[in-house]
Amino acid sequence: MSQKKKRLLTIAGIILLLLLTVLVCYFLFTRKDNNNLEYDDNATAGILPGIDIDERRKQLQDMLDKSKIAFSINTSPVFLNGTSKGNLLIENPGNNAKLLKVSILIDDTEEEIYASKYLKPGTYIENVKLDKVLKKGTYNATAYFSAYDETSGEYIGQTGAQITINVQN
Amino acid sequence: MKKKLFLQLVLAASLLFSSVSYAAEATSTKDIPVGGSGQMEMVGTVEPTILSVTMPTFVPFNISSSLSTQNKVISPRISMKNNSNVPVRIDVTYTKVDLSKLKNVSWSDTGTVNSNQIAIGLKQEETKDEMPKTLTQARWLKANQKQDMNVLILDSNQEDALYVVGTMGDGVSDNGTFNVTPTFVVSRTSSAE
Repeated sequence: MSQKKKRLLTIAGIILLLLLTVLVCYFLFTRKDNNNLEYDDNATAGILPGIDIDERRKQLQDMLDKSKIAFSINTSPVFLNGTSKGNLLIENPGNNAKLLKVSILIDDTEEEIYASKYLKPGTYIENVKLDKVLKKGTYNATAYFSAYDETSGEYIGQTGAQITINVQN
Repeated sequence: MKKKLFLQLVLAASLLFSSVSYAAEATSTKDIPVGGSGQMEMVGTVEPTILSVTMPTFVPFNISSSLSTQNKVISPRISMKNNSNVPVRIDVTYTKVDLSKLKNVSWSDTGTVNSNQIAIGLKQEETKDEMPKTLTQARWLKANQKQDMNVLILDSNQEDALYVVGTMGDGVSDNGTFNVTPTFVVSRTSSAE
């Protein structure tokens, strides 16, 4: 290849790179920021009059199905004493596709005695130490499972499970 | 000389220990008399009962006075599955209700409404995939207060479903939104009733 052709190819390459850079910059700077979305105050949530009921039901079903979670928990975890770990056995199964957070409240006092951080789908916690020291005894409590969108972290909803905590000493 | 003495000591010690071990063997193989008892350790481990369920965390629904049925709610099928080996019950323990966007509208806990009231409840599925048309046997949600209302009992590995049902008075505008957020709590029960 002659020296002239080589020079031409190099110049063409540089021009192409410049064009690509300009294009990338254009898309980056003209992209709309989702955090600044303005919602119309005039919009009414609900069914547009005259909409097909079956069609609306399908939409609602889709929303409900997306909010569904599976979870597991030990119904009667045992703690050797108020400061030791107990077998809570909480699980966020792999098919959930949601993040879960667990918070345990004593039924009588509504005091929160345990709060987990986010559990990814396909993970579990076998033994936990409670955040509050409990005296020897049996406690009725509710474990609330809060679901969050796996990608956006947006809160979806919560459900609960009744458990009995046994502190032996 | 010293070597000999050391060897003799080693021999004496090994003889001593071997005789002890023979003695121990003799006592351990002693017969247990007929009608007597021996000791055997039995180790039992209590396996924890794991509660495992699939249920929704959010229940969307629409209510419209234009529906011709007694039940004015368009509801998805709220299916719940017990994946455990023990029966479970599902209760609504609390319902957060926000009617602030509806002017002059109040809540009814009983299912009976006056012209400016709304009542929302839950009803067990009677025919698969069919929304309830009537409000008979509906269980009504109480607004913003504790409630122990059983809505479903599921045997081990059983699935069943609920629907949201409801009614509203003539004076309630169709042109508004409100939020009803029931909290479902699952617990172990002795048997499916």
